[in-house]
Amino acid sequence: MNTPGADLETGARVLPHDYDGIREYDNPMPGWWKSIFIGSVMFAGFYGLYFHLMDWGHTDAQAYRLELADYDSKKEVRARAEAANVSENALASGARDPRMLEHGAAVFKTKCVTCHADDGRGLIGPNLTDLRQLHGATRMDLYATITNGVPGTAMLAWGEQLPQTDILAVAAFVTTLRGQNIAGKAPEGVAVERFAP
Amino acid sequence: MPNESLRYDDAIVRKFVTATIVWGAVGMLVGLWCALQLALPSLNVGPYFTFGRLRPLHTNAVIFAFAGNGIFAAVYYSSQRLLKARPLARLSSLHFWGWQAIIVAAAITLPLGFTQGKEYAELEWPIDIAIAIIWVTFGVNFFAMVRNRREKHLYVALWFYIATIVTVAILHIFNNLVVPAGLFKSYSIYAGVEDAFMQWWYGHNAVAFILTTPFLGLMYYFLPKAAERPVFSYRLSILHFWSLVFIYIWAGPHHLHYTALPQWAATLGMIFSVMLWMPSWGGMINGLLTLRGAWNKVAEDPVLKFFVVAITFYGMATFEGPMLSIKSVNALSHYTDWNIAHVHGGALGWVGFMVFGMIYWLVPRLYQTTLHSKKLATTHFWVATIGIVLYVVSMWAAGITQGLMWRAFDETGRLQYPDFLQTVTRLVPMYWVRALGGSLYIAGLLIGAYNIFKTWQSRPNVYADIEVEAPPMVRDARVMAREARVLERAAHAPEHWHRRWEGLPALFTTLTVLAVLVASAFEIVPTFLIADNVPRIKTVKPYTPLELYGRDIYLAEGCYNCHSQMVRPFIDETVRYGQNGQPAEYSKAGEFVYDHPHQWGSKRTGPDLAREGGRRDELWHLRHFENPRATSPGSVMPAYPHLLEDTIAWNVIQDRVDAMAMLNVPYDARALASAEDMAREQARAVAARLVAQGGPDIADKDVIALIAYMQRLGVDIRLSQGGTR
Repeated sequence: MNTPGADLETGARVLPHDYDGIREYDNPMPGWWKSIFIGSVMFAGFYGLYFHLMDWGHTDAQAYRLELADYDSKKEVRARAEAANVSENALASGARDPRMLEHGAAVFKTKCVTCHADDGRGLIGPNLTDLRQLHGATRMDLYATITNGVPGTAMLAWGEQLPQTDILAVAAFVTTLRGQNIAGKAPEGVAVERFAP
Repeated sequence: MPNESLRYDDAIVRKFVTATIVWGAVGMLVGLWCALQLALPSLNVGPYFTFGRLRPLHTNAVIFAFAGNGIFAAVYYSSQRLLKARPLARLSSLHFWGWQAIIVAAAITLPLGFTQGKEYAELEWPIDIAIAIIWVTFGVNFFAMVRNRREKHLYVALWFYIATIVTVAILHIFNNLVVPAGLFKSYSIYAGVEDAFMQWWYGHNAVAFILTTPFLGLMYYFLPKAAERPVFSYRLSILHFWSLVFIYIWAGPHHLHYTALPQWAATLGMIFSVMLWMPSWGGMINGLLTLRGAWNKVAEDPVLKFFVVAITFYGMATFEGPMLSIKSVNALSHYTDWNIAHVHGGALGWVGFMVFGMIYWLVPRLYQTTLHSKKLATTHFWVATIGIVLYVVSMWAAGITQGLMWRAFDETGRLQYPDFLQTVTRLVPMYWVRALGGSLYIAGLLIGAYNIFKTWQSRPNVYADIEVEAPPMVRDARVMAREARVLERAAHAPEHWHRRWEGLPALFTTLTVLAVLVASAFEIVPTFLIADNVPRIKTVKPYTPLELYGRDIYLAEGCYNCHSQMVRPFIDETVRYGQNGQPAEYSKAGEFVYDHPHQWGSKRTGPDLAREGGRRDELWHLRHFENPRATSPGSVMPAYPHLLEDTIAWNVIQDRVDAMAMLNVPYDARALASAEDMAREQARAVAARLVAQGGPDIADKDVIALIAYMQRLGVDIRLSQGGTR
């Protein structure tokens, strides 16, 4: 490498040392680089001061409690509104509404068949077509099971997952399965009767 | 004083270059396989070639085999010339063959499921010992060159090599301290919060001292050589070197934002990451501004093209890193593919392109001929560049998409995507784009390998010795001072104060070690003091012998590569991972006191599992492990039918309980005497529940232990709130 002269742009000298032909300019550090570096150090100090030394900000736990309170209040509003829409009669009339049943069957097909099988004969979850039931007996019991799930089992609280219209429809649909007595998972739970059409 | 002559040892460099290319191809092909597995789960070939076992193989191969051999090639080539000294042939040879043997051992043991279960530190203890020995061999060889040097002052490239050598040794040893429970089984001496802290102190600084500092050193040698221009600023080199080395060490906890790590530690990780931005960019500036006056060469020279894009990606990744470390950004990005985009911007862009640029510059010199085809090298450059862009952009899109889907609530306060799977299947098209990008990058590498092979074929029959003459180093202080004054007068300027340190390698190395250790101690000591006093949760008990064995299966299968065990204090997470319509508790430090090692994970390709216990029945788990698509259509998880066939190795259970007891896990007298009986008893109970649910009777199969472990996760903290088991 030829001995280079001063930096053509900045006029900085080239330093006298030479490492295997590599030379170095004595350019100053760029001003913007130094400014941002100093700025980042100041930010760091301010952040530590704000959140830790002075406790001016929320801790993670405090921020979470605010989120939780907001969630709970929304959930309460929702629960009140939904309770007004559901009753033994509403589910019974849903089971006579072909559009509702079609909707319910569609939900069943996407969400329920992995555990209850395509025709409700049961796989991981119980057989829905026999005259036995694990949790309660009424239409409202079915609705509650679907909405709240069953602790310790793969039965999720679908109320957290689906809008109420879906749950009403699928509950109505499931009431029509009872009594079809399709051979599948062995009967579990207490004896129940067919729902009146 | 008469000049001394010396011959450079380029044979060792040739070896490392070959190894770099070969392992690069292997490591990246395994990466492509992993990428395709996420789009097409049938490409998981159990039991040895599932994503959970291959992904560690990919990361280890790229980091330690591809980047590692590349670093060694660079160090052996440039240090000889910068120091005017020759490495010790025997140590070079031991270093080369030892390192390759370690890589082969990794390639065999990782698919076999031998793992410590810590990211980028998966290799089991016998291999870790070998790594320590070979790394020290490398260090001794390097410092022998420093000692025998004929150049008084150390050039900036060597500062970065020194920082690399000493720091990697420290990180490797302290993160891999384990209690063995067999030849290929061990438990980290740290648990829970401490283990997570040590792991990311190590993990982040592996990025710093394997993927950054040696490559900056490489840049400082090969870039001015290729550009034939002086380095932009010596003063910038000094400040950015020291600030980088000192600040980088603190940044690790930014991998643990919103976890059970104390909040102040996470804050330190964040603010030091922000402060790291400019020290990192100092390297970028010195790289790019060195090219002033040489940009016309960039248009013609593939070597400089590779370097320019590499340094640009370095600049981008070192801006992205500090940004991702900001807590509110991290809340969105963490556990998503954004991290994958980030590391590949660094690994493919910065590390990969620095290596290729260096190799194209080196090859004609090493093989003493001309490059076979400049055109092919340029093709390699363009194909690979397009590959990186596709890779990074698709993973940014995937990461941000998934992060936003996780936290979306509808107006009534329900999660908009409550089913985790919805947030996975949405990403599959982006996984295909990523696989295409990766394929292009590998195609580029194979073009490069062909080009280099053809170049090698046209080498001379016998390599000429590269012989240089250099004056022996003056070690007399008075003579040195006189020389310095002469130089100062010639340059009409005083010497920089730092130059004295550059002539004193022992002092320089000591200061580097101090910078690293002091910074580490500031975080490690308080973390350990506090972690020792984490609020204990009375109901948190050690895993039963069967659950411990099940947890070991979880580690061996590499479940932590896709599943976290850390519910962050966000409402979307506590709701998503809650049960029976109630939000879960977010994860607390006291839950992990017996987790040797922690399994908090860093990526959620699947859902978090910290609250999995009791969420579903045993039969669901059994069917799910056997074929995840049976219970979860569209899942990309590998199937584990072998877990239903392999019998529990009852005879190892007592050893494992004993090893945990050595780590002060309070097992009772019965567990210490008859762990195996306890395990069999619990296995029969799990199997009985399975049978009651309509499942098969398989009390002695691996899957039973794994289900027992799944059903334990998050149960203890519920008991503290009056829940039941």
